[in-house]
Amino acid sequence: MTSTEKRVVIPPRVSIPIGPQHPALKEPGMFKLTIEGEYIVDAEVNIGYNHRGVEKLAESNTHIQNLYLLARICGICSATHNGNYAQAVEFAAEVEIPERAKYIRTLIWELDRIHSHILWLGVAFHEVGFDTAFMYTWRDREVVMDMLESISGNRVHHDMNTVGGVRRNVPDELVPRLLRGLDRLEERMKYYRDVVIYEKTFWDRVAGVGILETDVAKRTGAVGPTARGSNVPVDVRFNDPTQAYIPMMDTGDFEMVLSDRCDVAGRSVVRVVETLQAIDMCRWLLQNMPDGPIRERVRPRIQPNEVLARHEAPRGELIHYLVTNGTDKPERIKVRAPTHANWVSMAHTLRGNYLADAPIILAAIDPCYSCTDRVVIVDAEDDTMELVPLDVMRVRANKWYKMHPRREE
Amino acid sequence: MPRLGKMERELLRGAVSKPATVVYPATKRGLNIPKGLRGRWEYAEPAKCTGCKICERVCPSGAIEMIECRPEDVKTKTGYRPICHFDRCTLCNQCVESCPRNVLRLTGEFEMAYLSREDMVIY
Ligand code: SF4
Ligand code: SF4
Repeated sequence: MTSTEKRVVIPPRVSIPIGPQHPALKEPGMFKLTIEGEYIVDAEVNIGYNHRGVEKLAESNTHIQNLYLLARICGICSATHNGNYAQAVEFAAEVEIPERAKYIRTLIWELDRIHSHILWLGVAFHEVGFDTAFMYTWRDREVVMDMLESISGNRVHHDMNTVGGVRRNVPDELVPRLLRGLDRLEERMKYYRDVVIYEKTFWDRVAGVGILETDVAKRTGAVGPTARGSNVPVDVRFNDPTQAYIPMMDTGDFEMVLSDRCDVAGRSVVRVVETLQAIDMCRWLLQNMPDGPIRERVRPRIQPNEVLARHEAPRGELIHYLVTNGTDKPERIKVRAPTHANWVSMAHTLRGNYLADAPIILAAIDPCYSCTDRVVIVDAEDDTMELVPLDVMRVRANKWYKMHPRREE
Repeated sequence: MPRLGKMERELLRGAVSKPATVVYPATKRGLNIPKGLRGRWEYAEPAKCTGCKICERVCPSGAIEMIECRPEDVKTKTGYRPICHFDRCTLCNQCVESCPRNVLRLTGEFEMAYLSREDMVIY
């Protein structure tokens, strides 16, 4: 071989499993990445390590008990599951809850969004190795945690909602304190918005990384900030408002936050700007909160009905599908958590990026593993996706075990 | 205004300001425990309890058990009284809300680490 000849080195394809237990991911989820050198050429998402049987358990609980059970699906957005289930049962019972209860419910939802987005921002800083900003954001997140705690009595599981309203009032003497807290949060968030956009340590790691094109986002059914970061206008608060979002949207002061960057940076900007918007929403809710009762008595037995309740959780659209049967227990409850909808676009966003960017791309959908308990099989070769129902899995598993007996009989 | 190190001023300020964390077991100052905290379960007013078992039925995690009143207990109408297996309690406050006689309470006590399960049964 002469020295003028070009040497072509084809790096071998290596398959690297990330997870289910992995230092970069705090929750169990498995990502099988096929890499060529440093490039990810194929990605396979395997989830379902956290199946807890919540839906089945819910069928043997009363509606009131389910409020607490479903709140514990997720520790970060507990208010959304709790509130959306209460909303679903109210839809099924066809009762209208008092105005003040609607405002308080929405206030908790928005405060929850603020804390969840700041938490995400911290995690994103951490994933790109910018731990200083991670510490600072989480310090300032304590402001909103304290606010939630002083309203509801618990930092994490607020459990504010009940069927027919909310359980605790927001006392008038607390309002000035909450407004002061919001002012402080706003000041801090404006600063972090500048850090996200102008700090090179962060921006250079996220700009152009993890591209999710608008049409792919639409086709794969992405929701929440993941979709809005790709310029897909989906936000239940604006598209199909419920509770106090209805009067709030009627004011016309709020607009959906969108970004056309389609990369991780776009998703970050959407989240940061949305946090600032959520702060404004909380302020609006506190200032316009009507007086009156906070709960309506609803009979424990809910008439037979079939409803779908939607709510924009911090991570996207959350759906509770509820079938009631005239008893105080649900016939069937199905939860479609936002992260589950976002997995499908995941494999696409991973492909073609550097391996070192995998953690931030994974983190960019703000995954909540507790919310995802199904299996999506992504075939990297022909781009097909398959949502595998339980019975098919069982048949496949039986076949597999027949071929691979675990012990000799 | 793109410039190097957007965080530098913040970092300098952080170096001289007082710490954001609390040296917790040594001091409880600065923990900001709010008034309505949902803490340790308490059978606050035994004299009012009728032993109706509503609290046992509503508890989402099966933490409450109705036992027969022991000699040292206040005798209830049905002869049963609730105890809480606190390891199962999720601090949801539903028993407090559902009790028709306002017997139960979640106190502001938040130090809830125990060495054994037996210690966690609250009478
Ligand atoms: S504590 Fe209340 S709900 Fe429980 S048995 Fe006594 S009176 Fe009934
Ligand atoms: S607070 Fe909730 S979990 Fe605890 S004993 Fe009462 S009802 Fe049960």
